Amino acid sequence: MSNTTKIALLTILYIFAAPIYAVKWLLRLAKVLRSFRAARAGWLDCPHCGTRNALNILATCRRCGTTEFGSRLFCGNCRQITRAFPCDMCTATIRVL
Amino acid sequence: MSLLDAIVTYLFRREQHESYVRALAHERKRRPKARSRAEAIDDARRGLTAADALTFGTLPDGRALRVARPVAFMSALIVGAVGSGKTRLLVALLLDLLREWLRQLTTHPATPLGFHLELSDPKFETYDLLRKHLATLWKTSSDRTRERLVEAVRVIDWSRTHVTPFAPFDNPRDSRLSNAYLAHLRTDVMVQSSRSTYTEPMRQLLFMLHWLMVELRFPPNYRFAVRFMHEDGFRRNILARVPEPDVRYFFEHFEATTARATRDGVLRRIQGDQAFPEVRYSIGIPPAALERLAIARFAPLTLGNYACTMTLPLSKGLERAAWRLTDLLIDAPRRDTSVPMWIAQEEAIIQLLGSPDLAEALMAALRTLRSVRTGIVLLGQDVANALPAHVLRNILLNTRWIAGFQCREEAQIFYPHVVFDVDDTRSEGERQRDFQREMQGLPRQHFQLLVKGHAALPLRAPNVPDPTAVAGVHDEDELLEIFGREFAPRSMVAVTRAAELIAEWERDVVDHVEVPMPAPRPASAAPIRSLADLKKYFSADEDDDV
Repeated sequence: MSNTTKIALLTILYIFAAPIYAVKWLLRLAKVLRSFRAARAGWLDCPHCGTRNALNILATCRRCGTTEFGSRLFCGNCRQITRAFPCDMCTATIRVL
Repeated sequence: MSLLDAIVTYLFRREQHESYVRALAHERKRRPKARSRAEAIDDARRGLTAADALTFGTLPDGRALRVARPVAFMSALIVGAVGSGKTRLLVALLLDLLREWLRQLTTHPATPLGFHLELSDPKFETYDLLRKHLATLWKTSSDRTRERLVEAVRVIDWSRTHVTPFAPFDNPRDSRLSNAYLAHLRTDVMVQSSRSTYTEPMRQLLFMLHWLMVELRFPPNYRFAVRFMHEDGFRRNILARVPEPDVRYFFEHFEATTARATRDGVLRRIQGDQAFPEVRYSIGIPPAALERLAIARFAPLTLGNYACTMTLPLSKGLERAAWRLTDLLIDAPRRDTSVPMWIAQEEAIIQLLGSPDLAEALMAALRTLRSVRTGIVLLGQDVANALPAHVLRNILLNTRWIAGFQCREEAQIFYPHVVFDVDDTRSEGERQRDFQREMQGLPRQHFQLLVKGHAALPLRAPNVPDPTAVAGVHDEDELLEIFGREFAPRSMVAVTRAAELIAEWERDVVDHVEVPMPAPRPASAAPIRSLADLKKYFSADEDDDV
C-alpha cells in the first residue's frame, strides 16, 4: 500500500472517529462540570461512611508542598488539580472530578 | 495540560477567593478556643473526678484532685529522682484505700477490701513504710477490724528465723502453662539473675533438670541434683516415673548429651544458689508438704520484700522478685475480674534490664492485662536514659497515667500536655527549656500528673504521716513487733519446720532406693481466706502439721 493511500485511509478513520471522541469529551466535560457544581457547596459526603468532608481547608499540595487556605482540589501555586482525596474519617478515597 | 484541565483550572481560579474565605472560617471553627491555664486545670479536675475516687494530691489553688478509681487502677508510670516522693505517693494512695475500707468495716463488717495489691520492693523502703502503717492501722482498730486487716495481708520475706515458702517448680493442674514453658521461665530468670555465667550446654541441662522437677513436683534440692547426675541407678529409678519422653530421653543418654564439666558446673551453681539457708528453706519444701501447711498462700494485699537487707545478696532478691512477677503474670488472665488489681513494681528499671524474657512478658502484660482489670504500676528513675527506646515507648503507650517527680529528660513526656496561658509571650523553645528546668527543680512531693486525655496537672502529693505519731508509740520497734507478731506468721513458716520437711523429703526420695510416686496435683487447692476455712481445713485433715 502506498503512503498516500495510508494517509488517506487514516484521515477517513479520524473523520469517522472524530464525532465519537467529541461526544465522549463532551460527556466528560458535563460530568466534570456537574462534579464541580456539587463541589462548589464547599463539602462532600463520603459515599462510604457518610462523613461530611470540607473541601475548603488549610490544604497542602501533594506536588509542590504549598500549604494554603483554599480548596483541597486545586493548588493556587502550581495549579495542580487533585481529582480525589481521602475521607477525613474512614480514609477511603472520594473521587470528585 | 489538556483542554479539560484548562477549563477546570479556570473554574477553580474563579472561585479561589471564596475558597480562601471558606477555608479560613472552617479552620477557625475547628481549632479549640484558647483557654487559660486555670481553665484547663479546672476542666481536667472535673473530668477526672468521680463519686468513687482516690486523692492524688492538691492543686496549686489548694483544691484536692481526686481521680476516679477505674482510672487510678489502670497501668501507670511513676518517675523521679531518688527521694523525690514516688514511694510516698504510692503509699498515700494505698493508705487512702485502706482507711476507706476500715471505715466501711465499722458499719458493714462484711465489706470486702475492693482491690488486690502485689507490691514487689527490691529496695525495702516501700515495704518498710507500708508494714509500719499496717501496724499503725492495726493498733488503732477494733478487734474485729484487726482480724480482717490481718487476713487481708500476705508477707513475702526471708529472715534468719522465718521464710515465706514457695513452690517455684509446681505447675497447678488447671494452669494453661505447659510444664516445659514454666521450666523455661524459671531457668531464664535464674540464669539472667545469676552473677555466674552459664554456657549453652549448662543452660540446657538446667532447663531439662527444671523440667524434670516440674514433671515430678520435686522441690529444688542440691543433694537430689548431685545424686541424680552422678548415680546411674538412682537416675534410672527417678526417670521411670517421668511421663515426659523428651526429659526421659535426655537423661537416659546423659553421658552422651552432657559433658562432665557441664554437669559439674551446673551443680556448682545450684549449690551456690542454695548455699543461703533462707533460699533453701523457702523453695525447698516439697509442694505436697506445702499444701498441708496452714499458711496463707493468697491474700488481697501481698507485700514482697526482695531487698538485700534480708541477709541475701541483691541478685538473689531480684531473682525471687522476678519469679514472683512471672507467677503473677501467668495467673493474671485467670483472676477474678470483679476486683481490680495493682501490681506495684518498685525499681522497675532494674527488673526490666535484668531479664529480657521477663521484660518482654511485662510489656505484653501492660498491653493485655487491662482486660482482666490488672494495672501495673512501674516506679523508677531516669527511665528516658536507662531503658531502650522501644521499651519506653511501649510503657508510655500502655500506661493510663504518668506521675513525674523531680526529673529532667522525662519532662518531654509531659510538655506536650501542659497548657500555657494565652498571654504567655515566650517562644516555644523558651517554654520547653523553662518547663524542663521547672521539672528538674521540683521540690519533694511535688509532681506533674498526666492522665491521658487531660492536661498535665501540677500537684503536691498527700502527706504520709509519721506512723509512730499516728499509733501513739515512742519508736518504730513497737510497730515492727506488731507486724512481726500479727501479720507475718500467717504467711511465713519457721525455718526449723521448713528444715524438717525438707529432711523428710530427702529421706524419702534422695536417700531411699525406691522413689515414691509423685503426689498428684490437687485439681484446685481451696485457699484459706478466713478462720472458717482454717477450721474446715483442720477438721478435714487429721495430719496437723502446724
